[in-house]
Amino acid sequence: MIVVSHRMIKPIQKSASLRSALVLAALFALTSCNPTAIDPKSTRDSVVGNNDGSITGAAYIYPESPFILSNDRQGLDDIDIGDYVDAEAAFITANNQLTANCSMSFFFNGVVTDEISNCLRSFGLETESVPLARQPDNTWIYSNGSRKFYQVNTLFHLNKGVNTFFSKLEFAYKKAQSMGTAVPKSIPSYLKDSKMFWFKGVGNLDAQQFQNSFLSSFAYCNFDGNASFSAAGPELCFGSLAAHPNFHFVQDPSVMLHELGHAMGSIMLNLRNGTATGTHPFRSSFGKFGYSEASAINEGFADYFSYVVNKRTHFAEWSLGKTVNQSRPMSERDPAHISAINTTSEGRLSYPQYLLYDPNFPTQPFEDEHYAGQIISHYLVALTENLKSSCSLTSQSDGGHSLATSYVMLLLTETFSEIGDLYARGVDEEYTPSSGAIYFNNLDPSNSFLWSKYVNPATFRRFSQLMAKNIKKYITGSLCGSFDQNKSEKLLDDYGLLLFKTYNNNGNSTKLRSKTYNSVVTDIDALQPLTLVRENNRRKSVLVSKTLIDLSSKVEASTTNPVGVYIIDNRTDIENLLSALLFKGFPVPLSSNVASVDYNNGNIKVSPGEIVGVIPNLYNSSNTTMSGIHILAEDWDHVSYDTLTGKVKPCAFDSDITIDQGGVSNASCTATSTEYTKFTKTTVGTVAPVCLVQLDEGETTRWVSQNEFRVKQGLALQDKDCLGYTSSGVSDVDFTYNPHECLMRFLPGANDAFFSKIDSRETYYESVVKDLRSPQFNVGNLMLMEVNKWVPPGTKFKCRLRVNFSNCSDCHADAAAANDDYQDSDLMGAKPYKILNIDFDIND
Amino acid sequence: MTNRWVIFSITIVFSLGLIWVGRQLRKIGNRTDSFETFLPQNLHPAKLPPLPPGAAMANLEVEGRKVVGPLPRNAHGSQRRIVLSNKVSAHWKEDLEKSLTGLAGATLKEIKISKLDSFIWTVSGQSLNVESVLITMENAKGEISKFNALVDSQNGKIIQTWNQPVVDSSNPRENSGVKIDSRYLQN
Repeated sequence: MIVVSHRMIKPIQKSASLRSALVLAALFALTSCNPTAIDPKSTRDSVVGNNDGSITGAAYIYPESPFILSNDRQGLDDIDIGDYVDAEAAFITANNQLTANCSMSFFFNGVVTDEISNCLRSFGLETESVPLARQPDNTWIYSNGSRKFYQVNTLFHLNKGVNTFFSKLEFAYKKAQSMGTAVPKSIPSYLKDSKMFWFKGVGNLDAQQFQNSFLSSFAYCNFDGNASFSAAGPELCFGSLAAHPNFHFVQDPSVMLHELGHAMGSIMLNLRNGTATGTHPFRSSFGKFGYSEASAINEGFADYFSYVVNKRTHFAEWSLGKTVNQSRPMSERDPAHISAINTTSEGRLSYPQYLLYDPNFPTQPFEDEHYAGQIISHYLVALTENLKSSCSLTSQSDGGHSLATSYVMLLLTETFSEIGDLYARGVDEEYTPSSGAIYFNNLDPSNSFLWSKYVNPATFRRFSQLMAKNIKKYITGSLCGSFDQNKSEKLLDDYGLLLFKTYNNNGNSTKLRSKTYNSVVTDIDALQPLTLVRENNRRKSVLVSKTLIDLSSKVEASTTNPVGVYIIDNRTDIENLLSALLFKGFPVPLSSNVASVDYNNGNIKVSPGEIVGVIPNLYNSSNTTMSGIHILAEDWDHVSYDTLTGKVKPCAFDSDITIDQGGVSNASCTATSTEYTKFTKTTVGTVAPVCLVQLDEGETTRWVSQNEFRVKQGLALQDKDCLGYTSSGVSDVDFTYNPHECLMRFLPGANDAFFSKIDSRETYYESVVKDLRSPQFNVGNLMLMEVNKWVPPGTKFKCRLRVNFSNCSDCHADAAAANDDYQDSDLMGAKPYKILNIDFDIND
Repeated sequence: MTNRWVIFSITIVFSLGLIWVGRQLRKIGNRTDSFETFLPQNLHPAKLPPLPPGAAMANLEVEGRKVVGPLPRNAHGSQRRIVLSNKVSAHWKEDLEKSLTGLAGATLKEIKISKLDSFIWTVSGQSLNVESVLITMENAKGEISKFNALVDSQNGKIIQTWNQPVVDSSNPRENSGVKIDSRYLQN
C-alpha cells in the first residue's frame, strides 16, 4: 500500500492505556504500508522525507494554546506540545530561511503592490542573528517542543497576524483615498513611497530610525514572566516562567498576537512620520513608564488585535490564566465577569467605574494599564458587533467578522495616525510650508513629540473623540449610514466614553482658529461644520469642572488625608527608581555636580542637593468620580518677560501670587503665546520653568524667577553651578541650559504624572492606594525633582503645576469658541488647566 | 457666423458640464453604499499627489551635517542664518556612557551605544549638533532593553528618547511601585 498523504496519527483520548493501544495499532498499520506518514511524537530522524514535495515549506503547528485545545485539561508542567499540533502540515514560508515576506497593495492607477522581503524573522535566543535555514528536505519540521519547533510556530502565527494587519491597512488606505480630495484624512496618500507601512525608513535614513528594517521575534527570550515589544529593534520577545520549565509564552498564540498588536499599533501611530525623502527624527509611541491612559489604550488595542485575527473575545487563557490567573476578557458576555457586567447599557464595562477592575480578583482593584485597557478592548469588540448588525454583515459566511473588523481597523488607523503625527500637518494634498507654516496636529513639527507624548497625550477622551469623528466620516457618512450619530454616541456613552462636547472636526489649525484645512488645501471645503454631541445621549459620561480639584492640603474638607504632597527621598528608593526608569528607556538627565542622591537624607522633606520624588495628593470636591488626571510640570507660559530689565516676572493668575507679591497682569499674561520656546542662556523663551522662588527684600517679599534670585540673594552662583548645566571637554559653556531652573527643577522625562481616578469627596490616596494589601503608588504617579546643593535652607519655592483630567467639562472645550476644543497652542497657557500651586520650603 | 456662435456656445456648455461632473466626483465620498458596491475604481487621482517635504526641509548642510527641522526665522518670518549653539566633542559618547552608568548603578551588566546618525537639530530657536543613537542595556539578570536617544554632541546629554519597549508582565500586581514612607501612614 502506498501512502500518498502525509498525516499524523493523533490519539483521540488522552488516557495512557488507550493512547498506547492506539499508537500500537497505528504502528501496526504503518508497518503494512510504505511508511511515509509521520508520527508527531517521533524525533526528527524518523521523518522519512518530503519525497513528493507536498510539504515543502511546511511544518506542523498548534493552531491554538493547550488551554483551548484541551479544554483546560492540560497542566503546565506535563505538557507535550505534540499533543496539540494539527494533523495536516501548514505552510510556513517559501523562503530559504525562517523569514516571511510582507506585501501591501495600494489602490492607485490600478493596483500596485509593494513587497518587502524578509520583513519578519523568527529566532530562538536573543543572541541569534542568522535566521534558521530550511531542513535538507525543504520542510520546517523539527522535533515537537524543541526550540526550533517553537520558532517555526512563532513565525506561522506572527505571519498570520501580519497578513491580517496588511489586509486591514489596505482596506483603510483604499477607503480613505476613495473619499476624494475634498475630505481631510489622516492616512497619507504617499504611504507607498514613504514605506511607513512597515518598520522601514527610506534610503540611507533607515539607520536613523531602526536598528533593522525587519521585525524580529525571539521565542526563547531571556525574560522571566514577561513578553514584550521593542520598537527600537524592532523585535518581539517571548519569555518563559522559571517556576514552570516546560512553559513558554509562545505556546499561546493570543499572546503572540497581543505583542504583535503593539508592533502594528506602532506602525499605525507613525504612518504620517515619513515621506519619500525623509523621516522625522523621532517616532511616536503610546505612554511612558507606569500607568497612563495612553498605555491603557495601547494594551486595549493589543488585546483587540488578537480578536481581529483569532475571533476570540478572551486573551491569554494559557499563558496568563493558567499560570497566574490573569487572563483577560474582551466582552461583557464572558463568564469571567462579575454578574453586574452585561451587554445592557447599564452593564457595560464603563469608564471610569471599571478602571481598576481585575475580573480575576474583582474585590481587589488595582491601578494598571492592562486592567484599564479592558474598557477599550470591550468598547472595540462591542463596536465591531454593533457594526455587524447595523450594517447587515451577519449574513456573510464569517458572520461579518472580517468586514466589521476592517471597518474598526480603518477607524483606528485614522485615529492613531492623527494622534502620532509628528510632522504636524494633518492633511497632505498640495500642502507645502510656503502656505505659512500652518499645522493641524500636535502644535508644530519641532514640538510635536513633546505635545503628543506629554502635553496632549492620547487619553480616553482624545481617543474616543477621534473615534467619534472618524465614525461619522467613514461609517455614518459612507460605509454604513444606519450606524448613525445617535448609535455611535449611545455606545460611547454606555462605556462612559462620551467625554467631549463637540467632535473637534472643523479643521482649525493648532495656532490660529482662522486658519483651517482650506487655508492650505483648497480642495477641502472651507466650511467644515463643528459637530456637536447630542446631549440627550449623555447619561453615564458625566463631566466635572476643574475648579473642583486641588491639592488635598488646600481643601478644608479633606481632613482624613490632608497630605498635600508625598515626598520620596530615601536614597535607595530613588536610586532604584532612576535605574528602573533608565532600563525602561526613560533616563532622567541629572545635573552633574550640584545635586545627587548622595544628599538624600530620607527625612521626607526637601533638602539642598537632593533628588526627590514628588507625588501631589489631589482631592476631588465634586459629586462625581474624576478620571484620567494628568499633572504637568513642563515649562509653560506663566511669566512675562520685561525687555527693559531682562527680568522674568510671574503672571498673577490667582491669589497665590498677587501684584503685591511680584506678579504682573499685562497683555503678555492675558494672551498665550503660540510659539513654544524655552529660555536658555542666550534665548528669551515664551515658556518658563514652573518653580519660582520667594525673594525677601526686607519689608516686602516677592516671587521672582530663580535667575533673579541667585543674582539678588547674593548666592554668587556661576552658570556652571546651576542645575541642568553640563560642561564638556570641548568648551565649558553650555548654551542650552535654562538659567530659570538653576536652583530647583522638575527633571525632563519625569515631569508629569498620571492618576487613574479620584472618587467623589476623596483624595487619590484614599480612592486608589489606601486599601491595597501593600499600599504603594504607581510609578506613573511620580515626578522627580532636583534641588541645588547651594540653595540656602529656609528658601521658599512655589511651583506652579497644572492639572486637567479626561472627564473635565472645562479643560478641553473653549466656552469662548462655542465649546470647540482648545487649540494646541492654548495648552501652553493657563486656560485649559487648574493651576496647582505647590509650596516647598527647603529644609536644612 | 451663427454656426460659430453655436459651436462656441456648445463648447462652453460642455466645458462647464465637465467641471461640474468633476466636482461631483470629488464629493462622491458622501455616498452611503457599502464599500464593496461602492468601490470607485475610476475615481483616483490621475497622478500621484505631490509629496510634502521631509523633515530636512531645505536640504541644507552646515559644517558637513544635514539640518533637520524647521529653519530658524526672525520675528518677521524671514529666514535667519543658522547659528550653532554647541560644538561636536570627540568625547560625547564617553560622557553619555558615564552618565548612564551612574544612573544604572549595580543593576547594569553592560551598556552599548550605537551611533545611527549625526545631524543638526533645530528646535526652540536653537540649532544643535546632535547624535541619534541606539542604547542597548543588559541587566544583571541577563534581560535586554533598548531604546533610541537624541544626544547633545558637545556634552553627551540626552535631549530626547523614544522607541521604548512595551513590557507585558504576566502579573501586573507584581510590578514594583513606589513605596510610601511609613511616617505618612501613621497620620
